[in-house]
Amino acid sequence: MDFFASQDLARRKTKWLIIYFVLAIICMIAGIYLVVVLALGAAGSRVEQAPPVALQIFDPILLAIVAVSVVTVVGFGSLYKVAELRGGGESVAAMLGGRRLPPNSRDPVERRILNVVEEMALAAGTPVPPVYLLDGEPGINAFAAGYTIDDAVIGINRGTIEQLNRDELQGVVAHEFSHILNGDMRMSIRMIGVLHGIQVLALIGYFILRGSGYGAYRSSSRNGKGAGAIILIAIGVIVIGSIGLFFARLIKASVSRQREYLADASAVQFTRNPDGIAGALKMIGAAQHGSVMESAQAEVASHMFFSNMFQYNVFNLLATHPPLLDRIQRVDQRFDGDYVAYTKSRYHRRIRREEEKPDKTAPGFPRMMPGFRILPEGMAEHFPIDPAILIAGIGLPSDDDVVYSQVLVDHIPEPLADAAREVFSARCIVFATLMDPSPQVRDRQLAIVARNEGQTSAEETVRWLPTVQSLDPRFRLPVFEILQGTLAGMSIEQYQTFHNTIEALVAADQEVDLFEFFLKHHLLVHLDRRFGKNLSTKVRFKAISPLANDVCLLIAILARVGTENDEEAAEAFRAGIGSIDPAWQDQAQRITQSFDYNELAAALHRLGESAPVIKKRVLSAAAIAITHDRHVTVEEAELFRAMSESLDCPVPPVVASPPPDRETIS
Amino acid sequence: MGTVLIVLIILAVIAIVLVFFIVGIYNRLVALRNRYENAFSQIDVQLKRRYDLIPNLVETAKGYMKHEQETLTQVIEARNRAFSAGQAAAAHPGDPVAMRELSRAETGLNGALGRLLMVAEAYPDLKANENMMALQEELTSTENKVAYARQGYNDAVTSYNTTREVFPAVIFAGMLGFTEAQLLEIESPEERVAPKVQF
Repeated sequence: MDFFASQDLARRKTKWLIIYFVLAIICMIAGIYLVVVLALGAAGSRVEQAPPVALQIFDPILLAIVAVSVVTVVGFGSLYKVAELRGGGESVAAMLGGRRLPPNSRDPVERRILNVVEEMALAAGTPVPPVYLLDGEPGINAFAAGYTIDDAVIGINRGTIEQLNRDELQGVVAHEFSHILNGDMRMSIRMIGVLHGIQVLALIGYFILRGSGYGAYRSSSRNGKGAGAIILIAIGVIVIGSIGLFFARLIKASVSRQREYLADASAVQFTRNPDGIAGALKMIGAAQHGSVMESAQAEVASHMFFSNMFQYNVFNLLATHPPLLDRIQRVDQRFDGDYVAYTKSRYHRRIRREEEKPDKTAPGFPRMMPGFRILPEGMAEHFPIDPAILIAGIGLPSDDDVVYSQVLVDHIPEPLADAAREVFSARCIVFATLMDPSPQVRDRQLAIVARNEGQTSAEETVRWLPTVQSLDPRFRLPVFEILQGTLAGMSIEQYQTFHNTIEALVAADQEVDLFEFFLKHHLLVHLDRRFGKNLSTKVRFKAISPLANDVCLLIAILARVGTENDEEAAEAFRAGIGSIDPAWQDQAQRITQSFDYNELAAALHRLGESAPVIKKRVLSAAAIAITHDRHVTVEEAELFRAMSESLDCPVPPVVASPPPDRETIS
Repeated sequence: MGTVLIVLIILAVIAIVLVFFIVGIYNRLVALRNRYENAFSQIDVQLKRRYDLIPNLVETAKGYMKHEQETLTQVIEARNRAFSAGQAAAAHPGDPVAMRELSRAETGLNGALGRLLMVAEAYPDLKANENMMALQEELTSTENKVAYARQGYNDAVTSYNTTREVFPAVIFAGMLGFTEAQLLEIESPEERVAPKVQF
């Protein structure tokens, strides 16, 4: 199943989930209605001495009142919680008491988890998500939360980063990334909302019970029977609310368990190191605290975590995660359940590894190609590429990508990598990227920076200019992924200024290049969502025909890149667009060298709102157009990645070129 | 019975709305407090880096400034005061006492550093020392980062305080244990010769 199919599946599953919950609510309405009828009947029969037979079983008005009240309460409770979690991943992390690790932290334990997350993000081709540390949690657990890749956060227990080694941490992080990439997180947040609604119902029963107990005490005995009925109703609401909650948790648990197997399997695929994830799970089995969570708030989010937060009984009905042993054995069949033996072997292995000392001064930058194999020495920097492989890689990083990203991070010039993790200088690196080559325009741009952000920022921008301009093209996107994670640390006010500065810089720039445009577009779309703007992830287009104009524009622009002349470009365009609809091939006249960036931005915006299946067709067509001349340059590959990412489809690093110490095309 | 029922239902509804309301305020304040605490940790990282740099700076200057022992000692003392104030502040970001103490200590450190750099002007050999230049540049860039992180922290504190003080949150905020958070102001003495980076 590829990235697009699993996104679709996650959306469909969310729908089913809602249907289940609607069914549960209908059952609860029926149950509460019955209780009310019985309670009122019982109270009435004793007061008026009427026979219970007179009790009317079906009273449409009463039913309507009950239905409206239940729906209001549950709906209000759910909407309330969903609104509260509108902030996405950050608000979930805040609810659980997480502390955001500064991306430039120098604490060795914090540094390690930050690096592992960063490498995984670069391997997957997503922005680096902020990492929240749950300081008060000694158990081994972690979670991923958010609506989209853009507002995702990784949360991790103090116990996890302290007890696991790097491989195991990588397994845990890969597992969480699989949730991010599979579109599980949105469903998870919705689930919190609905559960909360049902919980409120039980809570209200409890309040009525307290209130009516007080009322019965105050009022004289002549009203006592009425109060008695209310107490009965309240108890009924509590019981039915609790039963509802039980079933809701049951649904949550069963949905969650399936996703966990998938995430474990994906984690192995991402890292191709079953020992990592299996080791982490074994450590949970061996650890004193297991994966238990201390925070009282954690229960509602239990399905978001890496492992069960409670000890469940044999039935495991409410367990949000499959049994530990089962999960381990799916990854490591030889495991017999002896957790202590694992911790011992792990200790010895660590000593052995320290003796061996892995060769950190490894050869130069590896050369890789789509299909993710290291290129043999001496191969040309242009290489034939199969568009199908390009598409298959989306959302599915492989272990090579992870290894590659580790090397990549090591090879980013160190001052730049450090600066990209500091909010202050990260901004200036972005400004430097958007500077025009011509000195006059650049001076105007620097004046804008100085006016909006202060003189020190302008000086810092100038300082980064040479580094940014001579940067190997393969590093540009990864540096931006790191920047995006860092920039999430701005205050809202600071972000507004930053956003305006970027827009002003682009407006002042005479020649925006296409790659710059995609970077800027991607950056602002992503950060806007992170700062709470345009959070909607609705699918507006389920068919491709209304998007014909946008698709043609995009493919026409891409077809012109990397081709010698308009005829070649027209051929590439026809090849690409033909894969969607041969009838659109006569649009080849749209190929021009100049086009309106605003038009392209609007097109990207609409394409971003299309169903995953449509995105796949568009990206396939783009891949065909780019690879039509059978040769892909680093620029083209990186352009494709940047474009794909601005449509929320992360592409692992697709790289082909000689190592950076040789002559590079810039 | 009817009236009792209605009164009770109304009471229940009011109670529920009130509970929701308070929970809402509580959660919002927690989120905002979280935000400014996170913002403080960004200042903290930079301050620590600065505290690490200063002993190196003093060590380098020592070789040249034989007759300025007092200035150097003052810098080290100011650095140590700021260091412990920084630790106290990191333990309780936003706490008025800790933040004011940090602000005082940092202002004192800036003053002492300013004096040191001014005196250093009289020692051309020291000024030309590569190590000294690198340290000075690093110090300036760290100060810029502190300034920006401080702005972010102050934004976050302001939005927390505003939310806290708005009616009706102000009624519950105190009861729920949300005290006012303190801005961090650090004065940089005017006479201070900030090392300019030339391009």
